[in-house]
Amino acid sequence: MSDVELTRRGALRAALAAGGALVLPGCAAGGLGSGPASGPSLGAAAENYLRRQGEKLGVPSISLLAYSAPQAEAIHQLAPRFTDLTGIAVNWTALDEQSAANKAAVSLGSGSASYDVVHLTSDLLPTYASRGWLADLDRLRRAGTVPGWGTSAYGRATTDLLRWKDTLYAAPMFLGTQLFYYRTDVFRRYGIGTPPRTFAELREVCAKVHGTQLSAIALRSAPSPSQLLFVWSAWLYAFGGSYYRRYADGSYSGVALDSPAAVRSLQLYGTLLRQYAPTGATNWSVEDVTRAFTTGRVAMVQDGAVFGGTFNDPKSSQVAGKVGTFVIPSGTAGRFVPYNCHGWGVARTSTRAAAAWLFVQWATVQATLTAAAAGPVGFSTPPIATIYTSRSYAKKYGFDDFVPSVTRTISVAEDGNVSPLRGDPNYLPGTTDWSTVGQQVSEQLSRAVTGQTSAAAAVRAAAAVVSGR
Amino acid sequence: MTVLDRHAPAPTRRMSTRRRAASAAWRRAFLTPLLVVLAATTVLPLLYMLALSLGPRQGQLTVGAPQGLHNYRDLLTSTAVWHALGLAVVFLVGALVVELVLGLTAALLLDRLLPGNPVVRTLLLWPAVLPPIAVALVFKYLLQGDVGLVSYYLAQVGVDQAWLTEPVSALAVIVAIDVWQYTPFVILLALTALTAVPDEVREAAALDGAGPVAVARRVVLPMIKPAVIAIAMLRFIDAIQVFPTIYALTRGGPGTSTQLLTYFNYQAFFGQLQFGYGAAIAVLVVAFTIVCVMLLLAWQRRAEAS
Amino acid sequence: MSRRRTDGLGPVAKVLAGIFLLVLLAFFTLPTLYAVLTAFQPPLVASRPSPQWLFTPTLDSFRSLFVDYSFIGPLLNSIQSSVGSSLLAVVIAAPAAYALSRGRSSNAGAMGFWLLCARALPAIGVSIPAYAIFNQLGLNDTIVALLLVYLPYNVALATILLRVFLDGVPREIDEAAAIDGAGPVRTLVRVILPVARPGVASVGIMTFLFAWNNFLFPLVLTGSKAATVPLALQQFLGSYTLQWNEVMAGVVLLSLPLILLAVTLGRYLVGGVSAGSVK
Repeated sequence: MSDVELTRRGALRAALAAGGALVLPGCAAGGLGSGPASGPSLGAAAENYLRRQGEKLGVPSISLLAYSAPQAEAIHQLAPRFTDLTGIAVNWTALDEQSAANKAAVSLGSGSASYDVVHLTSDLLPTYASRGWLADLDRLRRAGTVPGWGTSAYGRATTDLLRWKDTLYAAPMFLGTQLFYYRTDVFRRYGIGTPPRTFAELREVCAKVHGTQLSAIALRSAPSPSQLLFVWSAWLYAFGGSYYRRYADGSYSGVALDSPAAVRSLQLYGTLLRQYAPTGATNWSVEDVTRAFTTGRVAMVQDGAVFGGTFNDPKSSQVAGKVGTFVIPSGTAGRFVPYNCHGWGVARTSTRAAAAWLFVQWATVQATLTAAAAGPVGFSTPPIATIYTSRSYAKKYGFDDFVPSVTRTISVAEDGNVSPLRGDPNYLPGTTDWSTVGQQVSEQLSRAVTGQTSAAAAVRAAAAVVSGR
Repeated sequence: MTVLDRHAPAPTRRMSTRRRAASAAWRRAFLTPLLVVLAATTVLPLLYMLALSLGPRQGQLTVGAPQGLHNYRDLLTSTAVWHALGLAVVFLVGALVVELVLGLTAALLLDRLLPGNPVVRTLLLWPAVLPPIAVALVFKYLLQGDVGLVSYYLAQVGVDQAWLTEPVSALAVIVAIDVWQYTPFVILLALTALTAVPDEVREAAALDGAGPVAVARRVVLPMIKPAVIAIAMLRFIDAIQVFPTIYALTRGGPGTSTQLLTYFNYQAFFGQLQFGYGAAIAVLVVAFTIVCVMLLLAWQRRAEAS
Repeated sequence: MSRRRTDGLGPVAKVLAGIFLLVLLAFFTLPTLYAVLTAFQPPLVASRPSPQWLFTPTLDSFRSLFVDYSFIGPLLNSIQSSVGSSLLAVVIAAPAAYALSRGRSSNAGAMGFWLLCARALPAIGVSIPAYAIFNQLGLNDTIVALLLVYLPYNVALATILLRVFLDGVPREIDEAAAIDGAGPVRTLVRVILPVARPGVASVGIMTFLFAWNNFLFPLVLTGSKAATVPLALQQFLGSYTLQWNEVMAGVVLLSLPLILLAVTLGRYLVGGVSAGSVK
């Protein structure tokens, strides 16, 4: 681009910015912009910074890989606003979670990343970071930060999940936590006044409501860390079990998986799925579970808090308007909740790292996240606490007791009830080979869920995997 | 069918050395693009795989300095890979046997009852042209517990089976889907092979007093044996790559009971992010494939000789 | 072709045979029939706890699919990569097959073995290095990448089959062309291939299908720009919100081109593969 054009563009932008600055204050409060075309307003300082940086970098486009999940789709819909501000187009690739994770691994591992920005989960962050696949975000921050962007907005529990060896490798975009969804009409029909608060009560409720037309419960059970382990581990901890004995300075020691608590929790999980779940539910992934709930085949599911909007939306769910929620029951060792964090990372070998970093900041700043959470696609678990008390959030997710359940679940997490080990911010062990070990552990444990072996034998085999590494 | 009739090669003529050299030259020229393409597109990736497999067990996708055969050592001493290999063999043998038995029987019957029917041919053809992932999705739908078509009607007659959550039935389902998709094709190929069996041979055997079953068994089948082995070979080279079915239906589960060789390899790379180890598995799979092709070819040559 | 058959089957045997064949027919057609029916079911019907055969058909599933998903991209990519792959395969394989057919049979045996091995190469083993290499060459997420990676499989199969077809073309034709003064290239292109047209068509279709139905290579090598139809189908798999009627509608839509192909050009496909077996 010639200098003349640059200045002309700059002048046009300045004019827009001046005009925009007059309109902005009205839009900033409450969060919602005037529609997808204009998108969220970040405040004059931030937007000017983005414009200037965009011009300075002169990068025409960046490539991005995301999961085709609501939290990414919501940002995707707002992305044209980023392009408007910075002149950087975003080539968006969205795949289902499994394929996207595969692609990310191959892309990042190949040494010349084809994606500049990568959607990743905190479970895989130690693996990616330890192999040198991700750019050091602290270093990029020191080189320049969008005004108003800061990690303090997210809370330590969340950003700690995206750090490895004290370096930040991704910016939080989503909180992955779970709660129970239930059919309010079914509970009423069977005279269940209050939702179960303990696992014993949960089992009773299952026995009561299970029928041939409508099963009582569905839970993820497919042999994979993101499926079986992500849901069941909270039960393991609530019963008093744990994967390891100690956590210190970022490393784990002492395999503790083989315990009566583990066996009991696995037994309960498998029994519920074999007796009170639809046939075949002992090898289900998240989409099977959500589909079962939205088509009215099960009365209860434990799954992502992110599905609140989807489950209650008549366009995507046949049980909209009949959905209630409750926090995960407590066991003898207390109440634990699944917890992870999704973030946007920048590939270390990206040749457009500065532009990618610009996008990452734009996508995770409060105004964008508020608009994304409450927008038409919407996701109910943004990583910033104040969004949960905003008007737009209440308007979209204020059905039944969803908002209290979500905020209560998150406070359980922030109290540290994510891992039984003191000082450990990770729900699932944050070891660098968790993708391997976790996969094999889930394969062993799933054999007990399907009834192929006893829970005791499966737990023993799983513990052997963990210690054999 | 004149073009496709078997034609005996012309008797070799004495050619002058110049003509022989000239004819060799153009043949070499015609073969060169093929050889270049094959070398580039098969040898290169295999060498890359070999190099990766000699590197660190986890490692990167970029090739570094070779470190030794530790990945192969780990591989050959682990039970997981033999388990995966065993499952692959069970799948291959199971699928091929069922497809051939069903296919040949149906072909023999169709040949008698409905020879040369074009409607039959079209009906038998299209399962094989569907994308395997589409077929997998359809069966995932049909095999849903309780409410899927298969589960529902079988439950009515008292057969209550959790298809995808028990190891044996999960593997059986994978086999059955392959059978479903490709048996019609096998029938088609067998039908075509049967057209090469001259009527006179059959009639002669019938006149000798042989019933239809005996004629089929002692006369017709031996005549089409080379063709049958060729069909088996064709099916083998496709079936060994079975992936979309497992990916859509079981993801290797329950436990690891449908983690066939190809899926096991995929898991090593993408699920466990162990690139060096996965590369060693890939090399092993290539070796296994080559061995199987050799065996099948040798078998076919023997059948042709007799 | 009508043929008199000494029908040695008694009436009972014929009835049994007929029943067997009918059962087979049901087995092979019911699944897809029901899948197609589901595509036309309204969403509430599709999620009832038992299979529904009677309902008022609707196009809602197809409509919502078009609204939420874009198929044009994958369809175009599939067409490009499949047609391109097919053409490439024939162009490279035809001369080679001709040379093998008219050459010494001793070489051809070994050649056949290696061609078969190339065709049987495990896709996983090829896709990962291919990804790494294409990344270096800047071919990530392109149709060219797919074309390149399908080459060994399609070229190998095409050579094997074309050779068999060309074996069936009498040498007299070669000689007649030589007498007319045609060199090998001309002979191949102007004389031999037209005679073997059904064979070429078969090979073309088989290589087209291999490229079209391939799942693993596009999964590894492509992203949003060069994604093909099977990948689009796979999106349905991982969707949290799609109901089965929509999934089946997607399956039906994306299988239609192939069924049309089978119906119109099916005879070439059969002829092609059977030639490989009836050699």
